[in-house]
Amino acid sequence: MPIYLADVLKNPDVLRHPATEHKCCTCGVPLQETITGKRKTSGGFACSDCYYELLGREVEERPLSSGGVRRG
Amino acid sequence: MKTIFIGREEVHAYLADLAHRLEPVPSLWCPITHSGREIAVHIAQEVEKVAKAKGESVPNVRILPIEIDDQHQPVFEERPEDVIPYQSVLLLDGAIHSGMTMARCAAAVLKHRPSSVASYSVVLKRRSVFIPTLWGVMTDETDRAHFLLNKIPNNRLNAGAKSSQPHVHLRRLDESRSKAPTIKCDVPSIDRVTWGDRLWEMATSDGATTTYLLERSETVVGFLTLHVEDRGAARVMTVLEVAVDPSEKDKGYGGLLLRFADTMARQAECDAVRLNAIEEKVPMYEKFGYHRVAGSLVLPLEDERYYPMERRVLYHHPDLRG
Repeated sequence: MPIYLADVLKNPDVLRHPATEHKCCTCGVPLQETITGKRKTSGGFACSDCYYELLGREVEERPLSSGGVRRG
Repeated sequence: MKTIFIGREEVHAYLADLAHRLEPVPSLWCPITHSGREIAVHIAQEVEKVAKAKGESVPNVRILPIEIDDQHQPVFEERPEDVIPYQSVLLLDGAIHSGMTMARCAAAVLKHRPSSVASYSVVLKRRSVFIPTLWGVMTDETDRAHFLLNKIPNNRLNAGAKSSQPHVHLRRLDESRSKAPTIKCDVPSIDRVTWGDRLWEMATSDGATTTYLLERSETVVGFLTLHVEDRGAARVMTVLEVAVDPSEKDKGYGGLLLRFADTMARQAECDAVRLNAIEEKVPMYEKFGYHRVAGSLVLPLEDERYYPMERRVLYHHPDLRG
């Protein structure tokens, strides 16, 4: 369905929420880079909250190590 | 790094200027993703004001939104070959970062023989590869710009509204903690290192290495060690260590430590975040946007093999552009 300027002036929502809008692949929140974050994962784009939650779980299971030799 | 808030009135002042300069008003607007569509709504209001002031009707403008797919390619809401030919096109976005998205959208539009293509963004990063026809504010690479918002998200050490995580804070490791019990997490190369070792590392790294303790009240529940260095043209933050006390798992602490690392990387104007992934976890980190860089690190004593992996922070990491 074509959208025209007059449609947007009558109802801005016709433009604000199209069917193709990216949503978080985990929680479904509409993604806005500066608000929710928009991070690429193998499952699609995710919001920052979900991204860090999922990655954090992995790190809790297997902590990150530098492997560097310390003093002595 | 600066946080720039461009309020509604200022955005509308820019868009009012734009509406006056769009003469004649382009016949086809292509807003790019969510921020482009939001800007289009507000430009529409300004164009309407201009038309009313002139005693004219609202121009007949068609709108063809563009989304960006997982491969960073533009996807039109309608068949572009049916809509774009011979139209004067206005590409709209809220913010241009690397410029690659706008460049790809412009190329996709130009394939369909428009009569002209203009472009606009409220915010433009200084190192963008694409400079639009008009823009509002130019920012530095590490700046964060917010506009048309009633609130701005705080930096935070919690996992968001969905979480019931206990409140925690971070503290830089100092002498008062050097004798405290270390966190044991069954990773030999972490478990053998003491807080004293880490303090020594901090003291001898000329400020490049910092360990932070994650504390709930006075209990250390995890820690994070960061190292910043310049590697050729790029500044890289390496997450040397992240560990959470095994008895404190599943509270989101690992995620907030990594979120803080990314915040610090941005603040330090780093181009990329690097970590050393143990061999079996390389595919997992790839799922989260990290990619392997040259080299590997073998610790024969601990029987651990690590691979350096990076993920870009800024849009213009020399090796990651695109």
